[in-house]
Order: sequence, then C-alpha cells, then structure tokens
Amino acid sequence: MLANYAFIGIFFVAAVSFPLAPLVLAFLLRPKRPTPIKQSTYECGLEAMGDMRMQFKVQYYLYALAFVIFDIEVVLLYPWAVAFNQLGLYGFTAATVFLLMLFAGLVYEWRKGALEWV
Amino acid sequence: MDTLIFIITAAIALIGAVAMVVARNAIHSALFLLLNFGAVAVLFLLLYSPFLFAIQLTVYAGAIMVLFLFVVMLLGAERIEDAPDQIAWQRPLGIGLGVVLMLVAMATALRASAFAPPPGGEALATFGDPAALAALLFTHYLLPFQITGIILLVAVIGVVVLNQRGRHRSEEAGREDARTRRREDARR
Amino acid sequence: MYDMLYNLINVVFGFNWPTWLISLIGHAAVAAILFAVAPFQMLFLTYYERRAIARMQDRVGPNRVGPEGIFQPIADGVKMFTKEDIVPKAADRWVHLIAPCVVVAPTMFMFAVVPWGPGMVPVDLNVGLLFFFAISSISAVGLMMAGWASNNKFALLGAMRSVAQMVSYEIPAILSLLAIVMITGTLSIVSIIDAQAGLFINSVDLPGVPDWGLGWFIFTPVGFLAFFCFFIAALAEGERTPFDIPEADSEIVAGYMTEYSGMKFGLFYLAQYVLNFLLCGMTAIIFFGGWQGPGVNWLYSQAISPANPEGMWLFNVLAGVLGVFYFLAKTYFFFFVMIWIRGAYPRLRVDQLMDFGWKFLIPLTLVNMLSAAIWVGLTRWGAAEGLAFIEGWSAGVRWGVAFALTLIINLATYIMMARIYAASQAARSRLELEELRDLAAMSR
Repeated sequence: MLANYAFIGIFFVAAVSFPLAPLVLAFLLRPKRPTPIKQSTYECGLEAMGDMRMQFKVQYYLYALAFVIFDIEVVLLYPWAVAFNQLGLYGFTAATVFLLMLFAGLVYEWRKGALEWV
Repeated sequence: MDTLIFIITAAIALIGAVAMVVARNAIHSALFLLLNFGAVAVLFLLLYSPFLFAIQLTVYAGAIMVLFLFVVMLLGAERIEDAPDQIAWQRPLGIGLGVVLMLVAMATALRASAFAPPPGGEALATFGDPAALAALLFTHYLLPFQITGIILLVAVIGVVVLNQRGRHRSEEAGREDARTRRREDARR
Repeated sequence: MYDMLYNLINVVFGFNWPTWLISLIGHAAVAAILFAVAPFQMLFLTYYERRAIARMQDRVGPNRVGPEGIFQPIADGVKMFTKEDIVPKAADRWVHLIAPCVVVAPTMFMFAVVPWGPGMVPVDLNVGLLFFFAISSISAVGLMMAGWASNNKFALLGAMRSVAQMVSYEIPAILSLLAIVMITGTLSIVSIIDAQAGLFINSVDLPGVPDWGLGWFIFTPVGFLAFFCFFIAALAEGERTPFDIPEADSEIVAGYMTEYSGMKFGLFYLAQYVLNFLLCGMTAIIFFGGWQGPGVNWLYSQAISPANPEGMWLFNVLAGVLGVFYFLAKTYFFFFVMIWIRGAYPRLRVDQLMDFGWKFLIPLTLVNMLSAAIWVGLTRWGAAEGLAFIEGWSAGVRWGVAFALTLIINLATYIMMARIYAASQAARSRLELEELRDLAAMSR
C-alpha cells in the first residue's frame, strides 16, 4: 500500500517543480527595467491613499469559524459514508443523531441571523 | 527507505515549527505553520493512515489555516511582534512548558514499545482504511463520536454569540453612519 | 500500462530490471505526460471559452492568429513569457513570488488521482476522493498569500472574498459527493466509475441490466440532486461567472491578481483553467460515469488487464482511446455549460452568494444524504441490516420503490427550500426598497 504513496510522492515532486520551470524561463526572457512609477501600488491610476490595513467585516471571520466546524463534521462523516452499507440500520441511527446535531446547528445559526451578510 | 523519508519530513516539520516561532511577521509564521502541517500529514502516511493524512490536510492546512490568516488579516496584526513583549514571564513560561511537553512525549515514546508493529513488518491491508475506521468509530468509539458532535454544536452556539455581540455594536454605529451619510448625500 | 512497460524492458530488451524501478519509471513518465498535457488543456480551454462567449455575444472572437485564431493562445503564452515582471515596492517579495506556486502546485497535484480511461489512472488511492478535495483546499492559502503580499487594497479584498467563497462552497460540494459515496461505499475514484455500468439503471441496483456503460448516477434522483448541488458549488470553487466576485473587474480591478504581471499572472490563469478542467472532469467522473460509455467495457474485457492477462494489446489501445474520448467529451461539455452560464447570468452580490451556499445548498445536500440512505436501504439491505420487511421483494420492485420515494423526497425538499429561500430574498429586497424610499423622501 505504501508503494502507491511513493508514486504520489513522485507526483508531489513533479507538481511542486511544475510552476518553477515557466518562472525560470520567464526570468531569463523578460526585460527588467523597473521604475518607481511602475513599482508603485496600483490604485486606479491615482496615488495610493492610506494603508492597505483597513477594517474588514467580522462576517469573514464568522463564516470561517462556521466553516471549520462544519468541515470537521463532514470529515467525520466520510468514514461513515464509506461503511454505510455494512453498518446497517444501527449505523444509520447513530449517524442520524450526529447529522441532526449538524442540522440543528445550521438552523440555529440561521434563525439567530449568524448567516446574514449585512 | 521509510526511515530516510521519516528523517527528511521530520526535519522539515521541525524547521517549519522553529521558523514559525522565530518569524517576526505573523503571516510568515502562519505560512511556516502550513509547511509544518504538510510535513506532519506525510508522517501520518508513514504510519499507514492515509485517511488521517487527508484529514490533516483538509482540516488543518485547509480550514484552520484559513481561520488563522483571517484573524491575522482582520486585526492587521502581522507586525504586532515588533513591539516588545508586554508580559515579561511569558517567554520563560512558554519554554518551560515546551520542555515539559517534550519530556512527556519522550516518556510516552519510550514506554510505547508494546505498540510496535507486528513482526511481519507490514500492517494489515485494511489498516487505516476508511471502512475499517468507521467500523471502529461506530462500535467501540460511538460515545466519543457523539460527544464530538455535541462539542461542535456548542462551538456553533459560540459563533452565534460572537456574532450577536458584534452585531449589536456595529449595527448601532453602522445605522447611524448610514443615516448621516445619506442625509449628507441628500443635502448635496 | 506498467505490465506493458515491464514486458518491453525485461522481456524484449532483456535488462531484467527490478519491478520497483520499472514502476518508478512508469509513474515518472505518466507524471511527465500529464503535466505536459495540462498546459495544453489550458491553452485550448482559453481559446474555446473566448470563441464560445464571443458567439453568444454576437461577436467573432479571436480569429487573426492562424486559421480561425487557433494560435491565439500560443501568442498569449509567448507574451506571458516576455512580459516584464513588476513587483510593487510595498509588496512582500518572497511571499509574492511563492503565492502563484502555492496555487498551481496543488492544482497539478490533483491530477494524480484522476482516471482518464479504463485502467488509465496514475494512482488509484483508496481515499482518492478525499485526497482530491484535501489538496484542493490548500490553494485557498495561496490566494490569501497573493492578496496579502501584494499590499494592495483591491488584492486583499479580492483574496478575502475568494477565500470566504471557496470555504463556503466546499461544504455543499463534499456533502453532495458523500451521498454518492454512501451508494458506492468507496472513496476510490476508479471504483466509483466502475460502479456506473448498466443501462439507465445501475447494474449494482438491478442485476441483469445490459451493460452499455450508461448506469450513471445522474439517472437516479439522488444523483441528480447531488449533481445539481455539486456543479453549482464547482462553479463557485472555480470562480466562474455567477460567482466571480473575487475578481469582479468593475469593483476591485482583478482581485488578488491585481499586482501580478508576466508569468506569475500566467500561473494564476493556468491554475484557474486547470482547476475548472478538473472540476468539470470530476463532475463527469462522479455523475456521468467518467470514461464509461457504450463499448468501452466490452473493448476493455478483451484487452490485457490484471483480470485478463491473455488479452490483445490492440484492444487496450482501442478501449483507452474510446474511454478518453468519452471522458474528454463529457468534460468539455461541462466546460461549455460553464461558459454558457457565464453568457447567461449576471454576477451575484456577496450576500446573495453566501445566502445561496449556506441557506439553500447545504440543507438540500443534507436531505439528499437522507435520500441516499433510503436508496441504499431499499436496494441493498435485508433482514441482516434491520430491514426485515423488504426481504421478500424482488430487485425490480426494490429499485422502483427506491426511485419513487427518493424522487418524491428530493422534489418536495427542492420546492420547499426554493420557496423558503425566495421568501427570505424577497424580504431582504423589501428592506432595501424601504431604505431607498427613505432616501428619496429625504432628498425631497
């Protein structure tokens, strides 16, 4: 079994080196004439105003939090889905309890307005 | 071969971890942490558990990494480290706790010879298989599984509470803001 | 394929190399071939998209470079290579450089588990599907790096938007696939394709169905709803048009790519098209049988394979060509659907996008999993699993009952969810209208 993953390793090495080849080639081919204007930060052709650090909506963070929670639940469901046929009604019941919790969480978030992008 | 891969990945994981602690910029720290997560995922593969490998990547390198980066970017906190430490005893305490953790890990590793792989060297063909994992998860470890569900539900409630607190504050401010802006616009 | 290589090296040339070395060479060759094919896919897809969208908008599209403009993508590639690479002074040079690599590398890595034809898969993992989505979630970090390292407001905004979007639509995508995994009982992509033999009815559900390679999951209510949800989520993951707010050019220039030029920009572009290709391919594989189609299974049964070592190599070639043809035809069709959607729909707002993912797709996929459970229970289970009452039913009756029941459940849920969702959207737009009226009253 580990042999399979050795080949995955080959693919990994190939995938990581894949973007390097065009970058190196482009490095050799392209002109290099930097000027201060070229290297200034783009902002619709005007001088950049203020800092990049602005206030972001806290919703981004809350969605990410919700995502982490749901992602973990989904990941726990993977093995269940694979073995569903063998587990029978017992496995179905056990996972239904789990899934109902997931669903309750979703409905709760919805009703409380945590999924609202205002 | 296995040992060689182990040494390389373990070294990468260690380098990532050390660089994460040392880096002055919080974003760089987060990226080194990503390197560390990736190396740890490969270590799971060496332990014959492809499922944990994939989970390590999805949950840690995918989800939790995004969360970290969001937090750092939301706070604009990547250069906070430039300031001197506010709490003087934080660093020695951290080092002390780290040493204790390492001792515990070493003690566990030394005592764990009972869990060495079977004499054949190769694990069972179904070992670490998602189906085999599910069979265990839904029989022997059903209670922990359901408790995980409850913990996650509590986490959802936490998200809702955070959201409500943020909403009350921003809503008042935001609504006033919008009103005044609109009035000004209207005057123009 | 490796057996053929083995024969060639050890029997024909008589080198007697060890097996691991031969499979190492084989895999390296496969990786090299695939990674040479991928950029050409991207070149072709850009041309295909530009011509198709031009047709829809009553234009001609690129038609000057070569016959019918066929060399346009190559000209673009040359331009990418020779353009100056501009890095803003304020940017973080190293992260700026690494970000496109972090986006491209996982995308290419995903090719490792994608089967192209019968017996033509680089590596058949038993957690293949999970691997695919685990790897794909890493490129979100690359986008974030790009946005942050550029030190530009638009870039950071675009990165935040795109990551929030990818993250929100990953859950419906995986949940809709879980319904299929429940039916097939495996995470191996090759086995999922193998499970789709039959003729409109899957031959696992109803033994004795003639095998035309058409037992696709799309023909079941569970598979159809899963396909619907998965394809929409794939549009969002690939940042295709109704969901392309991360690079909404009229609002935030080009999103996280704003400060990129030259080959680094080209790499982002490459990653995007290759990802779209892979997502279309995944849709074809999981819901439309991948390389399954009339004739492939018969051809492959005559060929050299682990099950049939005495086959003819000619049939290997024929089965491979036909299988790859079916796979690519389906994949390009879905890419065409993506272009079609781009030609037909306007861009969503952020709040609409988030609402759609969390309040419409996720509940729908959760119910679909219940339907999948019913499907498996009715078609496969008996007294041993705790369903004694269906023990005596024949396979045909079981299939019919399962089909009708899941169809009713899925249809009812879809209509209900659509109503709830429409009502919530209507309420929101009422609020917005009221605010607008307020504004109008004030200005008067």
